[in-house]
Order: sequence, then C-alpha cells, then structure tokens
Amino acid sequence: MKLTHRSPRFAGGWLPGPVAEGARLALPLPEQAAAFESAVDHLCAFWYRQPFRTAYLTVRAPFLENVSILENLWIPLAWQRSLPLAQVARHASRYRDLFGWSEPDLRHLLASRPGDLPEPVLGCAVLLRALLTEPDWLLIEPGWFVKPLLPSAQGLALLEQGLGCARWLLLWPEQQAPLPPGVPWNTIQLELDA
Amino acid sequence: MLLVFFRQLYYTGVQSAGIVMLLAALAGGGFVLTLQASLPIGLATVLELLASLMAKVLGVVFTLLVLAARSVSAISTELALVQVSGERTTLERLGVDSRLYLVLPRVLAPALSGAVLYLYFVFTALLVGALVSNQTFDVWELMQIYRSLDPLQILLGLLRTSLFTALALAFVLRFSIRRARRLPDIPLAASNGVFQAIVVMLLLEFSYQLLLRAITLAAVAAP
Repeated sequence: MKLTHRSPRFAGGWLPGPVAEGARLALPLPEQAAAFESAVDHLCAFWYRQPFRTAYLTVRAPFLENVSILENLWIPLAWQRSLPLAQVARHASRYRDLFGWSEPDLRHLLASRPGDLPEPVLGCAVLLRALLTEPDWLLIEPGWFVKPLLPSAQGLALLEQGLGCARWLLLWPEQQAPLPPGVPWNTIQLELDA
Repeated sequence: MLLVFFRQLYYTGVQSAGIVMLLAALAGGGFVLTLQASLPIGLATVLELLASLMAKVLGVVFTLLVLAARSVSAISTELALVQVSGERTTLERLGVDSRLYLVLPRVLAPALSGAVLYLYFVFTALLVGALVSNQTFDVWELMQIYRSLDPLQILLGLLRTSLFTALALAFVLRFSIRRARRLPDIPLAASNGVFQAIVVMLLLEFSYQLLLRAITLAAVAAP
C-alpha cells in the first residue's frame, strides 16, 4: 500500500458520508507499527477533508504539554469549528454532569497543564475534546481500548453516553488482538488507493 | 495561531529586549571609550562613526546573534520535544496543520521581534556611547545624536534583521527538527539549530555586504 497525503481514497469509491448514524465500524490496518502509523496518518488526512466533523480519540501524547487543557481543547475546535477560546469553557460546562464534575473541578481541569493531571482525568479530557467537536465521525486508536486512560467499562459507558450518535471507526491492527468487547463492531475491509 | 504568534512575540521581543540593550550598551560604550582613547578625533565624529557602524553592520549582527542564542535554541528544543513525544502527530490527526500552528508563528514572531530588537540595539548603543563620553549633554543635545542615523540604513537594517531571522529559522525548522526521533535527539537538535542559525544568518549578512560592495564598485566604475 503506497500512499500519498495528497490523494488518499478508498478502493471501489467507498465514501464515509452515507454510513448510518451510530455505526460501529472496525477497520483492520497493517499490523507492522510503521505501516500502521502511516495508514492512520493517511486515513486522518482523508477524513478531515470530508464535509463532516471528525474527532479523534488518542492515547499517546494526547495533548501539547506546554499549554493548558483549555487551550488544548480549543486548538482543534478553532480549526474545525472556528470557536473562540473564550467560549470553550462555556461549552465544556455542558458536559459537566456526564463526568460528574463540579464547576470548580472543571475550572481546575481547564487551567491545568496535561502533565499535572492523573491519567483518568486526562482520559476524560480527551473525551471532552471529542465531545466539544460534536463529531459525525469518531476515529478511535486501538490503544484507547487496549490500554485505556479511563477504566474500560467507565470509558465505554461515557463514550456511548456522550458520543453514541456518532459513527465510530476503530483503527485496528490486523490479526493483533480480538476486537474490544461490549461493542457490536462491524468489520469493514477498505483499501486505500494511492 | 494568533495566540501562539503573540506568545512568541512576547518571548522573543519582550524577554530578549534587556539582553539586547545590555549588549548594545556594552558595545556602544566600549566603542566610544576605545576610539576617544586611541584616536585624536572629536566626539561628533566618534558618534557619527558609531551611528554608521551600528546601523550598517553591528546592530544587525548582534541582534541576529542574540536571537540565535535565545530564541532559536528555545524554539528548536520545544519543537524537537513536540516531535519526539508524538504531540505533532496528534495535532495532525486532530486535523490541525502543524506547519501553520507550530512552525509559522515561530518563524514570523521572531522575525518581527528581530526588527524591533535591532532598533533597541542601535538607539541604546548611541545613547550609552554618548553618555560615557567625557562630555555632558542636555536632553535636547542627546536627541540630536540620533540625527546622525541614516533612515535608509535603519530601514535596510530592519528588513535584513527580520528577513535573515525568518530564513534562518525556516532553515533550522525544515532541516534540523524533523530529524528528531528519540529523546537524545532533542539537545542535539537544539545545539545544531543554534549553530545552523548562526551560520545561515552570518552567511546572509556576508552575502549582503558583498552585494552592496559590488553595487558600490559598479556605481563608481560607471561613466
């Protein structure tokens, strides 16, 4: 699979647009690390050029360490939704109940640097970023389920509760491990053309 | 991106101002004291020489060196860390163009700051040069010192400092940072970045001086 960032497209002219809301898709990708990373890069490049909102759940280096969580949440929002920084906190407070946070909890989270937060809170912040995007599609790294920032059950419950309507696309290394339990995954076979 | 730009402007423009003015004071004061002690020329001539030298060469070179030592090292380290930790990859996968968000403000802000720092340098060097001479000035006389500055030279100095800083940073970020893959690459990226920036900046300034000389010679030779 030889790809370029400029022209990734799917074999057979497959497009993510017509997929039904709430679909849970698992996309097997090459197992070898470099090929897997390259395929994810190209998929993301493809997805962000489509006319719908996309959020990305990542585990590795989820945030820029030298800016606050507030700014970290705002960066993709500014890119995808042109949302001003001043409005991020107001939008974030809509999701307080989902995480069981008080207003001071949320303020503390937004003002903190990623390095100052424990892993479960960081996991919530990654979810919060996805929620704020109000995505049509949610791209999920395999690590989110294999080595979750949040305890598996809680993470999955929050994901279903907050982003249940979105189409999920799990980027799954082929033959490496069984698909994460508790989700009715539909495995799709897609080939990226050069 | 604007937020990052203004933050970088503060780091390079405001935080470097003190160092640039200190260097300018030492250079300007040292120049006047040395010249007065070694040559039988009047203070007016000394200050004219100082103004010409600072505006034409030293202001640009010193400012570029300060930017290389302070800003290029900081920016190289920061971006190498972002690259090695995988934060840049995450940004890209979030649909953010890392060149626009991470690189562009870190090239443009120091370029703009460079121009302002050059002005700080020239004006401080002249002021301190005048103050350390064995003559007393009132405020009006001090203001007159700046009349010896050639506006065209100042404009060229501003443009050169700005352009050379941007080019040097673009070169460093293009060729040095992207190679950082592991943690031990970070200090290497920083030191290589500073070295490369100094070489590029001085090479550009040297080329400019050569070009200027060629133009001057051609103008003299023309009938």
